[in-house]
Amino acid sequence: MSNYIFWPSELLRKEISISDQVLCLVAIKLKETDYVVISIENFSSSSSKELLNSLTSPYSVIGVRDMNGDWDISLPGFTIVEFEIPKFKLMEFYSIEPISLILSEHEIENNKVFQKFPNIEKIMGYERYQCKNYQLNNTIDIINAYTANRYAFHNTYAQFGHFEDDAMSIIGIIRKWYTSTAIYRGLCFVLYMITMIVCSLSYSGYIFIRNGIPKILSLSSTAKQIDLRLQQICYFPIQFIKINQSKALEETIPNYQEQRSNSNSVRAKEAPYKYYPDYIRFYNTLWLIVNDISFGLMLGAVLKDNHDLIINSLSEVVTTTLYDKMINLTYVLANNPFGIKLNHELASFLSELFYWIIEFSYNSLIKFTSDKEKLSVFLKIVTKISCVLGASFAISLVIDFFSLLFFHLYLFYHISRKLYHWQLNTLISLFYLFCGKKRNVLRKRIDYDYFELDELLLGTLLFIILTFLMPTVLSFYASFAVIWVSTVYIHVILNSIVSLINHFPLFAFLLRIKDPKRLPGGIILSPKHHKNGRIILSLENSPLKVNNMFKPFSYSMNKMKEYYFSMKTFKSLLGGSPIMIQMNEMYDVLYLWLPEEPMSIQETMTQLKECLPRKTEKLE
Amino acid sequence: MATNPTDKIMFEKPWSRLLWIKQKYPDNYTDPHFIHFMEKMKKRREGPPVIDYDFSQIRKDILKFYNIFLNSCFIYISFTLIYYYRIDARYLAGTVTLITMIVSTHKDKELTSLLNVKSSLIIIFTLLTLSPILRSLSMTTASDSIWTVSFWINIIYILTCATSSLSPSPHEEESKIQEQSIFYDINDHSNNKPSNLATNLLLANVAMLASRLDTTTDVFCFLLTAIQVNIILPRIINISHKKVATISSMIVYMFVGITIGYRITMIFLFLSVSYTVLVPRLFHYWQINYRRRDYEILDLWDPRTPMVDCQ
Repeated sequence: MSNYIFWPSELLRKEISISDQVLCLVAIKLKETDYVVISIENFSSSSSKELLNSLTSPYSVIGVRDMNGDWDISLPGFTIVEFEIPKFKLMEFYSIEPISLILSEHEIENNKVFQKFPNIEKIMGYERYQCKNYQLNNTIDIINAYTANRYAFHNTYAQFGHFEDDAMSIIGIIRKWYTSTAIYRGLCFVLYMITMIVCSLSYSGYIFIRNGIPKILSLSSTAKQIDLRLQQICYFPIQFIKINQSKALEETIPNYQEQRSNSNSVRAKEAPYKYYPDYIRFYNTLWLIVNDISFGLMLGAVLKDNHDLIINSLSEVVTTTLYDKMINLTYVLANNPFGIKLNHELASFLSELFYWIIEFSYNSLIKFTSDKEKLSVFLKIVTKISCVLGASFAISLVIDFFSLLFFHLYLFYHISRKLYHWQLNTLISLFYLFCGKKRNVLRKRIDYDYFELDELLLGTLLFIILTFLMPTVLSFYASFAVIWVSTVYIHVILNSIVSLINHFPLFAFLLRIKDPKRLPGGIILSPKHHKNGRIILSLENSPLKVNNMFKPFSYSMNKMKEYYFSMKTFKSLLGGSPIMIQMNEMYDVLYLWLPEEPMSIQETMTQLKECLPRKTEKLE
Repeated sequence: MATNPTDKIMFEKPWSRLLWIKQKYPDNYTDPHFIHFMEKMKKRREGPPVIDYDFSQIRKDILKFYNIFLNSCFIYISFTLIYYYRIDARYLAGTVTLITMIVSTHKDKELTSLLNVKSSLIIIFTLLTLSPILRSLSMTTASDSIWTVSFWINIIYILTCATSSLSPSPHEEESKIQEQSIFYDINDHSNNKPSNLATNLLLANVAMLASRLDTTTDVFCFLLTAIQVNIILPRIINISHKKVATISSMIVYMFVGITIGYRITMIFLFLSVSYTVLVPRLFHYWQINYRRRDYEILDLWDPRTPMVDCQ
């Protein structure tokens, strides 16, 4: 097996700059890792030679360079891999797997490929498909903690080199002093109290929405929006705790002398960069909320400027489309539309029914809402909410307003669909009877059967009657289904705007543009140049792919496509199966950023309390 | 062939030419019987035709079409009488019911088995309930389209009704006895029942036509007449019997002659005579001279469709 020596490019440059000196290569190697070069030391003086030879595991000298600049490396068949030291402060790191922007607990069910194969988990559990070799992963862990590792080395062997300790800037000193004062602690406590109050309020709001009003979440998008925001607020402290932990971990120095008793294992779980996705998620959510509010301010300004125009046009549109046009349509359907002669009795009965519903909804709802004064009040409310809470809330309110207004359209659709569905099914079974066949329920197929004359007579007469009535029902169903489906599409478009505002990966996207190393989507090992007849590989970050970043979003888009723009939808439309607004399905994707259940308030409180600065604590 | 697999197979289950059964034979296995069979077929083809096509059977089958056609003509006759000549439908229905009663008293024991009280009550109440609805249903539809639909349904009816009972009865003597008697043995379900589809098509046709009639009584009487003439009576009387066929032919030709005119009746008569006389002969000739005689191979050696256990 060939050995890999991971050599930071900084040290490579250093090695080249120091000529005519005897140098040696100090590397760190834990159990199941490759060598990672940690330092290049002067090997000329005898005292340093002695010290270097006394290095204990995990450190060792793996090579010596003579005066001519030729390396003599004591490993058989080695390959040098060059890498840039990830800047810890800037949260850069390497990762073999692309980092996940959604919570890992949602991963499997989110993946479409996994959904197709229900046995995938069993297959994944099979030992053949399990990776046993974690050498590269562990090495990457060391590289990610490179700065800390080097610091640890210099701490243990203070004689070597001189590690440039960060000269503390004035701001740093002030910060250090400030954090130790009582004012800071008091302020932290006040902030903690405020956070706790807000959190408990939102938690109880969340509980109220979930349990207090049943089914409201699947009916109202405003409720859904409120629920989402409350859950986000509940999750903020937990995210904050996680990020804080990672910061604390950054500052700890790995002490391998102690760890040796723990069989040199790299505690990968505690590696601070594992919490970086949390950081990204946290700031993404925050940024989206701010973004939402700024959009809301824009929207509010537009609404306010065009207040009168909107009110006038909206009132007219509502009365014409929802009342006048509906009455027109019902009238046309009752009186031989397009010259198709429908059954007069049934058509007039149905149109009477729909007239009645239209009148009822007009008197109870449309008349009220199309009133200009009331509309003006509503628009003012929407404008204010848009300015204060954000555009998503305003749009959700508009969606709910329209779903209330469209209710009688839904009733029309529902009634005609039920009729159509019932009639179609009866016609199909009567057609089987007509052909002398019968549905075999036990074997789920159509079998021949012998029928008596009276059965045949009754069946055939009913079949003929239903066939004659079918065009009437079909025309009513078709026209109302088209209207309903178009309202569903309006809903879907508005809802997708809301979900776009709510979970566009804005922060991740900007981060990707600013510093792709912070969003690793894997690593690339590529040959860089030759040196002394050897190929030097270079380890590079391959940044997260843009379509990977939009994975949850594209997933929800696919779901929407499947629900509303697919052949299946068309078939269920033909068969008279209901087409509904799948509120839950559309919003599912939003919750991928959140845990399934928010943590209880007590637990959050205790965890957050631990993060508070304490009086007795001595800051280093 | 060195291990002689055929020897082994002899003791195992014989190979059968069924694709959906898993057998212990290789995929490219050729049954040795196939060759024997082919040779036998070849010999038979070279020799004189073995199968003697029964001319009388062909004629009987061809006449069956004609008889069913005559029978279905009664629908149009009674419809024309009610719709166009405006005779009182009650008298027509009464007459037909009387005929049915007379015929059935001849075999009243069987009538009860065919139509029990429950069925007849259901039929009558169904007709009474649904006839006003039927009448109002097709008000907006043009008469011409109803005639066209009725015509096509009738053609499909004649085809399905005739083909569903074409195959000759397996017991020749029984069938001969049956043919000679005017009345069917109703308990015998073998041959005299048309398929459900045929009955339904007839009912559909009748119901379509009935929806054109003016009053509910007319609709009811027409439906009753048609059901009796076309469904109940053919189950009691052998419509292929000479006497029955002659009587129905006479009625039909008389009616056509009186209502449309004698010239058209002559053409009609000429067509039907040529059909009943010429077509069987032509068909017989074709069967002897042009029909493929290797259909047995296809029958035996072609992949058949699996029979899913039907009742």
